[in-house]
Amino acid sequence: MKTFCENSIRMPSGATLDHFLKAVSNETTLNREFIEICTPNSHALKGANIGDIDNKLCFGCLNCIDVEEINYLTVQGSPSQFKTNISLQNTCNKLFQGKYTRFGPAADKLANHSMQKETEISNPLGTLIIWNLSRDPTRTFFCSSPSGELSINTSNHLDSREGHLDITICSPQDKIVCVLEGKASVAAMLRDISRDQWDRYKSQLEKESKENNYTLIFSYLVGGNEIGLYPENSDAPHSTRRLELYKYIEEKNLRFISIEALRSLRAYQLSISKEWNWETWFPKLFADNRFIGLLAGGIVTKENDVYSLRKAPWCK
Amino acid sequence: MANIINRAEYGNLGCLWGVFKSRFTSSGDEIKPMDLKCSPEYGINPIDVCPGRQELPEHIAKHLGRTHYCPFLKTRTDERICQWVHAIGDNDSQKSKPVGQTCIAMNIFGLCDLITQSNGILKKIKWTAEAEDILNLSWGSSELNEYLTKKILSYGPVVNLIHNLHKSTSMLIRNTDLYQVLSILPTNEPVETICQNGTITRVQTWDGNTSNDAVTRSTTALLMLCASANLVKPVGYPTDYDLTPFRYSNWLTERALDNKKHFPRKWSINKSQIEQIVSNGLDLSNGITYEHFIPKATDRNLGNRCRCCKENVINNARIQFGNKSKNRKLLLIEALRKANETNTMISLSKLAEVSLQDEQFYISKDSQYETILNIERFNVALYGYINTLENDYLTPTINVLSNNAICAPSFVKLRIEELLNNDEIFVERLY
Repeated sequence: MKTFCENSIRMPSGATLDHFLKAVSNETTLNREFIEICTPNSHALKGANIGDIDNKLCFGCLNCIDVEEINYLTVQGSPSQFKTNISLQNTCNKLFQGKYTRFGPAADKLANHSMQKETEISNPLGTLIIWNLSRDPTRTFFCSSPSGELSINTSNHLDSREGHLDITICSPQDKIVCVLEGKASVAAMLRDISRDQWDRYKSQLEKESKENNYTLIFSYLVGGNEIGLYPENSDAPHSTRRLELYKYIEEKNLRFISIEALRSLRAYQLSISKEWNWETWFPKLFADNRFIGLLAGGIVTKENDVYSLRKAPWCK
Repeated sequence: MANIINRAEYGNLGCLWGVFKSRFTSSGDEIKPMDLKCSPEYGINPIDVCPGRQELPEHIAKHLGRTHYCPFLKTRTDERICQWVHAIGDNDSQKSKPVGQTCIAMNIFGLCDLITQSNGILKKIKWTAEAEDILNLSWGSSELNEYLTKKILSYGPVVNLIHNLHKSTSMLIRNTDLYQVLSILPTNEPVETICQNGTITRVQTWDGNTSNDAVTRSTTALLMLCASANLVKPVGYPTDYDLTPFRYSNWLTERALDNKKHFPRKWSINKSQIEQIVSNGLDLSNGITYEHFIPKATDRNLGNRCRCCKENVINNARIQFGNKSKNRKLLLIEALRKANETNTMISLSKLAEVSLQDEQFYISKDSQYETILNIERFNVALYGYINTLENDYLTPTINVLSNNAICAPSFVKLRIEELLNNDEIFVERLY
């Protein structure tokens, strides 16, 4: 079972994406920082063993699970000391099929937990899931909330304050960097429209990644319940914020990934395809002009001005 | 540098005690601010003796090589280790800011003197005899609570706050209600700065707070100090708890452990306590002194660059004209002191007129009177030298001590004495 991650990198104050990409080219000189896998502050993990997990507090992010432990999960995705008959594979067969779905019988636990605090819960949670989804986690590095965000100098005469990148995770050997702007929920995303982070950040990030020969993945990462992120013509239950959200997505040409989708990918990786990694699939998805968002039920695309939910390309 | 703390966490005095106990050597010893930081080089670090420290589970302690963590940091494994001073090494992104704030806080509480360079940058701190006197008191003891409370109540900005809370008709206040009285106002006088290459840039002096954020942060920090002194009580504070530095710090720790790491924003005013302090007479033995009359030049706005050498023109203006701003404030404070001693009022128009005799006391001749009337009298009030204005006449509402000028150059003090010898400045009080 994993309890710590040593791949969080502490960069000096004011360091930008450019500084980070240059720093990771020499792994031996990186300032690594221990972070607890069960976020925040080993929320449900009181010791170093599976027996120390408080199942009531565990929300089944699957970050602490190793591949050999997948037969030791409760129905809620929590690790157990005892071998269980729960088949993660059966659950995962329903994921990413182009139909609305939710992971497991306790999907609300993750949604409720992740929507509480952006910097202290949803951002580090998302970072650690992506880190786990790496081709080689030992050589994948990140800077993220709650205290390691990179800076982005988008200050101007009207606003002297620099911006911060919530999550930056990169694979130096694949030359891919993923920058995610975290939002605790759909409501939080809509609340921050006036900050115009997408337009302010995108061109600067593209410039800095291009100068370092990196492929950039830039997206929103949305915590909480993902129902509001499903397109109108999908089979997802009604959401009052959907029209408003898609109007915003249309206006800014945004991309998004939900925390639930990331957790689903982790389950998919653990039970169905151990080879699944973000370095292979994220560039393929984001290079496709039709791609808009990634959800547990599939991918959202825009074709002929219509937003639809489709089966993910990795599903047979 | 203005020695007003401007980070909310520096209002938690449990942390002050932890840093002080772990780093004090002997009265008169000087140390560099960076020596306050946590480091494996020291046998004892603030986190080892801090009253708010929390024990780490064994498996985490083994990984980190330390046994305790600070509950106010966002994660237990945070390499900054202590919210006040942070830890030494390249991993500390905040560099000297946290120790700078710590030094200011320790100075407010009489534990150290600040030794600064001519540009205002803090060079060293020197432990005081007072610090040695309280070293063996225990955290939570009534003697220590009394010592800390006395220091808070005589601290200039808190004196100003007491004065304003006393006047307030409301029983509840929010942080935002106090921004007006806790802002160091800029005088905004037009000046020309000359860069190293001789390029002249016309700017306005910006000798006030560096940003709106600074006011927000210092307001919360000052209210935190006021809570330790039982002047205000945060909404939600248990009714059966009394308010002392010890109790308030404990309460903050309990909240942090409950994952409530934000600081209070709404407070109830302890009217009876304030009434008693005012009726006993306000004590200004811990006012802001000359060297701290204007904040350090730290403007970072990229738009404020010299077009030829890219130096920050606002910072340059502050360096070039800062002393004049400080001298003018000292002139006003000394006038208030004299008016208090002679039981007179100050004619502001006459004071402005007299101050124009020496260019060390004005920046713009045209705006000198308006600057003193509309800006500087509020700034000196924030520093503790509270006053009231009626028509053109300014009356001190506090006993101003002579320690405010302690670090001013002797020629400035001498010149002030000469200027204030003009009897027309002081007029008899009407009551």
